[in-house]
Amino acid sequence: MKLKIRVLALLSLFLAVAALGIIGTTYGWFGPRFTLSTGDIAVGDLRFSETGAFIADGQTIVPGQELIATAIAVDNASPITSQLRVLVTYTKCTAPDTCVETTYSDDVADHLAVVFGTGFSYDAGYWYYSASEPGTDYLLPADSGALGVITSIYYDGARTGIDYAGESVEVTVSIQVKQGDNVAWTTLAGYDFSTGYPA
Amino acid sequence: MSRKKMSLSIAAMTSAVFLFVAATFAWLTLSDIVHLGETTIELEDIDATAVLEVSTDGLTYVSASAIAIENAVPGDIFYYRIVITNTGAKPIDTQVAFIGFSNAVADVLGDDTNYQAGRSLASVLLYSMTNTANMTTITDQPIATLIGGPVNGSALFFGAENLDIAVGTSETVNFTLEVATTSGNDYQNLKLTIDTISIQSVGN
Repeated sequence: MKLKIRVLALLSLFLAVAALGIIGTTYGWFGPRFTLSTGDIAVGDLRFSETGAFIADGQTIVPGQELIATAIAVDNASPITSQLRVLVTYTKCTAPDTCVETTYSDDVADHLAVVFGTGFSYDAGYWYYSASEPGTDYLLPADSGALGVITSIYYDGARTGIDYAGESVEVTVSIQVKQGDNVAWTTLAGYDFSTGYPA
Repeated sequence: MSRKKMSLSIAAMTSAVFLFVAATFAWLTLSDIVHLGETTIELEDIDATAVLEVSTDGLTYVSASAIAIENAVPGDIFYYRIVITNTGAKPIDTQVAFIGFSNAVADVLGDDTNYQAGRSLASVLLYSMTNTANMTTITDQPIATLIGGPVNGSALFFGAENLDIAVGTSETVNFTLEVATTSGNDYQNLKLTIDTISIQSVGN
């Protein structure tokens, strides 16, 4: 007897739910539902590694002495396009005890001589890698590989004099890299190589 | 006696249900009006289609099977739209929901520091939306803000709601995903997966 009541109760419940479902569908309470495929959104990153070194700190140098122990180069393994530029600063002495930090621009007034790798051109304080045509907008392709930056730095004996005697000098090379699109250099201090190549 | 009454009731209910079923699924082809005793029930045919499209400039769109963005950089904007067409016989009210999110490293060969630090692209991925069905807009809202809670598999946000679509017409939900220009290096090499974009309609 109890079993029959249970069966009847379950059947009644099923019929009630089925009726609700059908009425719901009939009156449009329940409508179609579409799902679109999974979406993946991934952000790229800059992957540069650097090699190169100055000669040891603290030693006495003379004009014409090579300051680069190992040529400075980078290797680009970034999955996104990027841009690269280099800032070279050095201590320039124009009179005894009159030394100032100066940006190298390959001007006749520069006391430093720097030999860049191929494809670098100067613009407003920075040396931009621009491949074949000089400019500031060149985009390094993703995963472009090794790129020579600087092979030689020395104080030019023809331009330096006794003003440097007894002075301490410093040469700094900073390589800056940023994503290719959407941002200006000025907003990307965070993309600078943190190490640089202090003299 | 009472058992007989109960059995008759069950039988009547079963018959009614099967009549609904038969009418709804057109086993019995009469018309779009079904008469049950003194009650007249109009059958409402709710049906719609939805198509996802993608554009590189927000002007020219092509069909897309999914949202797939690789190697984005801060400032990149990706344009999508969903065209919803009411192919049924009744006006519908539609909503678009983004359901289920998961964070990961974009490229295992890259640096996973940002992922290990618990950062999520949802914090810097900006969602904007306009649609042709109503005046509602969403402008440059981080997905994490729209979710309003943990970014995980059960998280969701509504990308568009209350889209009234008349019979035989289409409405479009235009939305963009932008990597915020302020995101910086802290969000490099991250990936955000959206499990499902759900478009659901009910009779209006």
